[in-house]
Amino acid sequence: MLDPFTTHQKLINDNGLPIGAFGGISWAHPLGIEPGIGRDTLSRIWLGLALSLFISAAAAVFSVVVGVVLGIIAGMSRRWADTLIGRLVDLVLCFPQTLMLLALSGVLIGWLTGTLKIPAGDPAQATYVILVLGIFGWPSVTRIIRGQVLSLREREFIDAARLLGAGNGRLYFKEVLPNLWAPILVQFTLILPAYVSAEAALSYLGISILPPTPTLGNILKGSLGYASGDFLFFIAPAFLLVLIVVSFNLLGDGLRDALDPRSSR
Amino acid sequence: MIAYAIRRILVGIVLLLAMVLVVFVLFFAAGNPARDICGKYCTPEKLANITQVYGYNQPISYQFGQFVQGLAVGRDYPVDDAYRAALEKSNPDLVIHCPAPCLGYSQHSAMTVNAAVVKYAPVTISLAIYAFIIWIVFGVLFGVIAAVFKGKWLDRIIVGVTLVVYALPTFFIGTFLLQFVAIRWKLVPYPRYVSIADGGVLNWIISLTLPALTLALFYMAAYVRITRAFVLESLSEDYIRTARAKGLSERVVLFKHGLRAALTPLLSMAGLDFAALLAGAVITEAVFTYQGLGFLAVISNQNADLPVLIGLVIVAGAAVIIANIVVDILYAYVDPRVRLR
Repeated sequence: MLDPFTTHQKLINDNGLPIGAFGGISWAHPLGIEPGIGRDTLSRIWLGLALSLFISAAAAVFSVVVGVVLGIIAGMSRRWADTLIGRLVDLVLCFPQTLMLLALSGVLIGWLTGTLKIPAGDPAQATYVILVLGIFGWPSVTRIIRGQVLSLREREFIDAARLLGAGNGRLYFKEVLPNLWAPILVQFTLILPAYVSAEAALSYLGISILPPTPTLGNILKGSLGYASGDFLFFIAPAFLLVLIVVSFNLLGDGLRDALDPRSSR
Repeated sequence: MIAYAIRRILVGIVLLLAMVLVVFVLFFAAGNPARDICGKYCTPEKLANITQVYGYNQPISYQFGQFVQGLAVGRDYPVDDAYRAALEKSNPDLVIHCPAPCLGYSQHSAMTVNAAVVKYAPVTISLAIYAFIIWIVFGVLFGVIAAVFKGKWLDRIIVGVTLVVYALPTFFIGTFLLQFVAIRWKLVPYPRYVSIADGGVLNWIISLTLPALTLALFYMAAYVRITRAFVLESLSEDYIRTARAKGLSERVVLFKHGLRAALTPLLSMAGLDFAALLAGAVITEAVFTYQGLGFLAVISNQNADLPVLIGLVIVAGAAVIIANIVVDILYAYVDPRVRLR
């Protein structure tokens, strides 16, 4: 049923456009078929959406985990660790993101396939995107978590835990971490749509997963050529992307308003 | 004040050195740079030549020292001393002197990275300035309007539109403007970069309009949201209530008291975003094939021209670091509390 790779040349007319109304919608192809090669649109969107969300979610988890751990350490330690992490945040923020993602792709994908033996092609490309988005995304999380920890650490239950003899590890991750779930959730929902957009941009530059495997970015890139030929096909992938990004942004904003009454928009 | 400025500059220099070091480790420790540059049709002779020209057989610490030395006082290519001495006798044209601040040498395009940056920078700088003006003027304008009309339909429309524009990928906006505004509706001529020297100021502005608009729309959407939030926050301060209680007109309250506090942090953010743009608007330049620094990055990536990529990253990082310092010092000048931290 869902087959994003088979081409249906019989359903394409001589101009390369799908036969039938609204891009060739039928029972077999509920969203029609794409112009040109004639693959099923629904199954491509389905797989593309899954892959894009998987990559973005994995990168977001990476950023949030690193950001939260460093944010807690920076916020709780009053001495050199705070300074060191602060400087590290400054350093990472100096790097121009898009340029770094582009410039590092050749070298790091070579390293992933050569040293780490990740199969070349889609797996290596996907790993690269997750890795670099994750690495360049954590500083904003660290800053916000550190701010939250700074107010948490003055609370009485922290003193109580310390007096009971809790070590740093227990203090950080058993006492402080559970109190941070709200900002962590908000950060995750706000980072995820940013990464969906970033992955699409990387697809455009040919760095993320490559065609014929669909991702949101690949589908969008493929649709760009049909601005005059098949307007519906041109506009639909962008509409889908906007829908996803706006939804997650609204979810994040809503969560923030609901979980943190102090922050007013 | 001067002590604060000096401290900020020193921190900036350390940060820049740390950045160069990280770039070195990322680009060289992970991979095999000579092999990467050599490309698909690599012969042992070509590989040996690349290694000699760039000195990739030396330890990384030594290469790093050489690079920093090149930044400070300049250096000569090929890096390998014996090879360079031999070349100076047989074929002196192939010995390249790269004056300070030397960012490297690209064998692929047979020019120093500095020369490449200078060649491609005008488009990027023009684009960045034009986009900056559009996004600041309209971003702040719509942000203030939205804040003043908070909850009314005008605010809702502005916020809704910015959410959508913010979510649209730059390359889609660019393609849309190119395909419809320029090609289908012919509202502007097909965008092709014209320098001031070639076509005068007017043609220069016209040629940049679509790409600058593409670039500006994303930032504009972000700045509408930020401005709205800042203005709303400052309008809820106590001194605004005091100003209203004094009987000041709503216009004076907004412009003299509300906006001044709201826009200062905005300007420092804008400085940093502008600096980040100088790295090249990679996507916008790729969509319109405008030959700026972002375009240079894309073709250098395709050609595995590592020295150019490294140089671009360092230029971009330096721009951000310098902008950071300038913004911090200006901020300390405006707001004395900052200096005491």
